[in-house]
Amino acid sequence: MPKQNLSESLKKVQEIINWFDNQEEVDVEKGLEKIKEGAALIKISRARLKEVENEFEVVKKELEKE
Amino acid sequence: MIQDASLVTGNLSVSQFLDELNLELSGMAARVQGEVSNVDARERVVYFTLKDKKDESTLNCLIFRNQYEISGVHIAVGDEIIVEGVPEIYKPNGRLSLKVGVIELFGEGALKKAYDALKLKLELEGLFAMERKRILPELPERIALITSEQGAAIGDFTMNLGAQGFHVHFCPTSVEGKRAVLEIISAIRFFNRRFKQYDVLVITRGGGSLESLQAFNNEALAREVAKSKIPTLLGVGHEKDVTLASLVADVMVSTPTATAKTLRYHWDEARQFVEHFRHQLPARFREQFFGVKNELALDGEVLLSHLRTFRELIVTLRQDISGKLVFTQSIVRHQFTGLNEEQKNLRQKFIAMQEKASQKLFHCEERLKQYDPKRVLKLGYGLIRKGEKIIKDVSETAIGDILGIQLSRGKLQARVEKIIP
Repeated sequence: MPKQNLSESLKKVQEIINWFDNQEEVDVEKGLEKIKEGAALIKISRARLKEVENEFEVVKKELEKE
Repeated sequence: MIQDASLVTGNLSVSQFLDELNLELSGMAARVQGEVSNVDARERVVYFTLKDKKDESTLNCLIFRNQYEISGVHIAVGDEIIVEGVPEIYKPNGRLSLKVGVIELFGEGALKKAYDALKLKLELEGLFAMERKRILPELPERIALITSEQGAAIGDFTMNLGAQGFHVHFCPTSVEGKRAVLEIISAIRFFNRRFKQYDVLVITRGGGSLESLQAFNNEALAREVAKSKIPTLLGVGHEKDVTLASLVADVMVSTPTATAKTLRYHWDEARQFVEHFRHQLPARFREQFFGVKNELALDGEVLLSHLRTFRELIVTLRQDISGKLVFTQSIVRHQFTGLNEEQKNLRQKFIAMQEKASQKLFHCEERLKQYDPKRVLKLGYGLIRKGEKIIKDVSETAIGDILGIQLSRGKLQARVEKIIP
């Protein structure tokens, strides 16, 4: 799976929510499509938001080489 | 050859002596405090004289222009300063000068004055303007970090960062003292040379006196922060002592803890958002779905009622039609009965007519019978023919004619013998 940008995923989820909020004419088929997409995005986002240790790298030596 | 001579005689040349002196002097680096009595700023070097306040002793000093700029202190006659440097004798004129590396203003009052002046200058240049400020990426991942390896700052920072999977590239530098400015500037430059690799540049240190935060009020450092291609987040000092570097940064907070919290804020928010909508999204859909279901049920009801009406209408129509059909049938049947009667009448009439005709015929026959010659013949009359012609007058014959006589039964041939008129 290509690496998903978390901000973009969250933005898309927000868009889907807005879509649901602004539905005047109900379109269940489209709604189903949207919910599938939303669920996938949420799954991806949750995976990325799982507590992951930060990577620490000290770069002083590289700086001194330059 | 000269060296050889000196070895032999034990005498040093002037140059040799000065070289030796300079060698000795190079180990005599010092921190000297005094009042500026003379300044001569040239293109590459700034010459100045330090005067002892008590006994008017003087010391020649020089500093290279680039180091002077980095020092961030613009000296003027009368300023009380501290310089750090190495003494050296300039061989062409034999003068001793202190080769200065760092100039610092002495005393909080002087520092404050310099701070205020520089702040005003940078402000007038628009370096603190809100329009210049960039928004930090909401969910930064790649962090360039500049702070000290020692002290509480790095601990506070990492402890409060939380486990977000950040990639932190940490460049440890001094954050105080004479080396801090140079080290921080070179760290900023290092990260900016690969600016695409980072989402945010973080510079942080704990609070301290105005003197200890001096590096962050340095003009060169402040300008370097302003120039950064990576959005900057400065967490330096406490609220009461806002440094100039903080003022030019895109975002400033006051502590390493606050710096870490700024970085993680949207991550925590995103987590809440995702958890909220993980439940909310199916609920929204269910809501929509049930809405449609209800609507469909309602539509169904309407349709059914229409159907019922329609059915009722058909039943009525059918009854109507069958009623009419029965009526029509009775009419037809009635008509048929009438027709039968007529037929019967007609037949009777026909028979009567037939009878009448046959009677008439019989009558005629009877009448005809009366006229039949055969009847007359039976009465004894006879028909006399001459040839084929029936004789009704004697004149039609002559004596001797052979006449044919037809009787009722059979024929005779007779000869005329006498005619009686």
